[in-house]
Amino acid sequence: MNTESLSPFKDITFPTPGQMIRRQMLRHKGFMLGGIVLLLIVLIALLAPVLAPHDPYGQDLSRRLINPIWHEDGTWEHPLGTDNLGRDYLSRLMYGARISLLIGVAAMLISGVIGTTMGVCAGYFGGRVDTVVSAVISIRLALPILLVALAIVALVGGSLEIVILVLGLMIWNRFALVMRASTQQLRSVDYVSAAKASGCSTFRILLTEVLPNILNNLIVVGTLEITRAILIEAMLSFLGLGVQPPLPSWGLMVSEAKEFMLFSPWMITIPGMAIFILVLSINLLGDGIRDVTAPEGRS
Amino acid sequence: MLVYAGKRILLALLVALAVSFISFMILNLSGDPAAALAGADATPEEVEYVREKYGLDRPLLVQYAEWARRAMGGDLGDSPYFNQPVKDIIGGRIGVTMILGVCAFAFAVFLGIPLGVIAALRPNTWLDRLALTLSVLGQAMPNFFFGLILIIFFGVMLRLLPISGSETWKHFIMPAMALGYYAVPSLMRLTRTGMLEVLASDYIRTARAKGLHALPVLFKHALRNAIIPVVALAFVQFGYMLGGAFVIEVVFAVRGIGFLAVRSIERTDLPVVQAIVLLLAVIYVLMTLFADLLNAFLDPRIRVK
Repeated sequence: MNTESLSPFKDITFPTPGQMIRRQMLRHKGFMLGGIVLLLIVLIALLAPVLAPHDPYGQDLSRRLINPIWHEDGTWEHPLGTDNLGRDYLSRLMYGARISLLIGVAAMLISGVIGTTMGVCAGYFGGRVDTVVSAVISIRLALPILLVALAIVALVGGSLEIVILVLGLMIWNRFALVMRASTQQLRSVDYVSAAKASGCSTFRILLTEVLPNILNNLIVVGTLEITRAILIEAMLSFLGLGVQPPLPSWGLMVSEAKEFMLFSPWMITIPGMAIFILVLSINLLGDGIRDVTAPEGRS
Repeated sequence: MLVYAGKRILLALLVALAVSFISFMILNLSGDPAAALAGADATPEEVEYVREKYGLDRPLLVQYAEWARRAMGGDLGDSPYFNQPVKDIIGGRIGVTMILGVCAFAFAVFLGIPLGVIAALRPNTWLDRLALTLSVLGQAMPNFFFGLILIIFFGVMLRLLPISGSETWKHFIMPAMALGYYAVPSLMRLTRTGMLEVLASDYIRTARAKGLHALPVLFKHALRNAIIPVVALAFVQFGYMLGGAFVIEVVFAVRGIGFLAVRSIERTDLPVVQAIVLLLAVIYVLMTLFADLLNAFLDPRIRVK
């Protein structure tokens, strides 16, 4: 265009908002650290069949309780040792990442759909809808959720699907609360009023005007809720009432290692640290996204 | 204030009622209590007999109404496993859980609030960053794993503390830490933000300008105002803590109601599980009610809303 060449700023390129956010992300230490560690864990989980040196379910009673490599009697054949059934600990750890990530993401998606729907409706419509949703949230918060989840999984019978479903149906409260507050702020902004005035349907306004503007918050809550699901799954499996053996859930591995605490404490610390590092990396990533996308972070 | 309090109390009652209904339904729909009572190798006839004997053949709503009516009068039914009233079984265990909860709570408060004050006094220094880093690390740590690490370190390696049971005060040190550390980060962060806000306000500057010493200003003027939301949060955290205490009770074999709940779940002793879920919910509701009333009492703006 002709006018563009007349602009005094023609030599200066302004970064687009997307570029600015990308630059800030690269500079954010927590975000980068969390992102890289999480990427590694995801790659390990995806490539577990290729990377794992042994069959995670293959028992060999002649090779029970071999110590990890940092002990004097450790061997490179089993870098992280073997458990009480002679299964390779490193392989089980790698396959275990799949279970944690699968449960974390799937439960987050279910609870995300439930919580976001509730929160957006309460925030947008207000009035009676808001009262009802708020009451449901208070009830959910008063329920001792961990104990109830434990009871349901125990009564119905523990399995991967049941754990995902129970967690998904129970941990939507933070989604609902945050989405409700974010939507309330949007209810009376100009572009929503404009869409209303131009006759858009409510559904369309929610989808094309409200949702894109609360997406940042949604992503932040989503990442943090993955870790909540991962921690609860680990706890259920640790108590023996979540994912069932012989699946290599990290919480279950800690539980199975309890009786060998005296002579093989590494059997507890290795899967425990795995849970800790995974949760830490996702939390750092989520905090980083919040810092970078929050308006006050865009200085 | 009275109108606000009345509304809040009514709401709390409704929430408690709803929670009792939902937990009753969830637990009874998740499994067949009659089959569980009759045992694994019972014949279908025996299961039917049990179903009729315990009134489990009636509609769930009727069963709930009956249970709720009795619960209001303090009768929580009998445990088929212990053959004793649920009330007596829980009454014998609640003390242990309360001691654990209070110890954990004290640990969290005495660590979280000073850390928050220190972080606020030296913002953006290594001290502040250390406190923030600790809180990020703490939030990623599964509590059962933290408990086991404490056991391995203090119990197995150093042999300083007993690793299971609840007989002496020494038995409560590690469980209290393992249960309480999770509340430290949120208490710390809230104290830090509150203190930063208050320290930047005019009346603190005035107090300093008058020549008051730093410490009296800190404690008499600043902390007193910054602490209000922290106290409210602490109540809620206490209720939440009791709800999650069962994991720690299992790790350390502390014989409280959480330990009892997990064992009862394993042997499908539903009346006990129901009563404990209800009890924990009521405690949580009371704690949030307390926090709300405290906030409203101290901050008149909330009452008007």
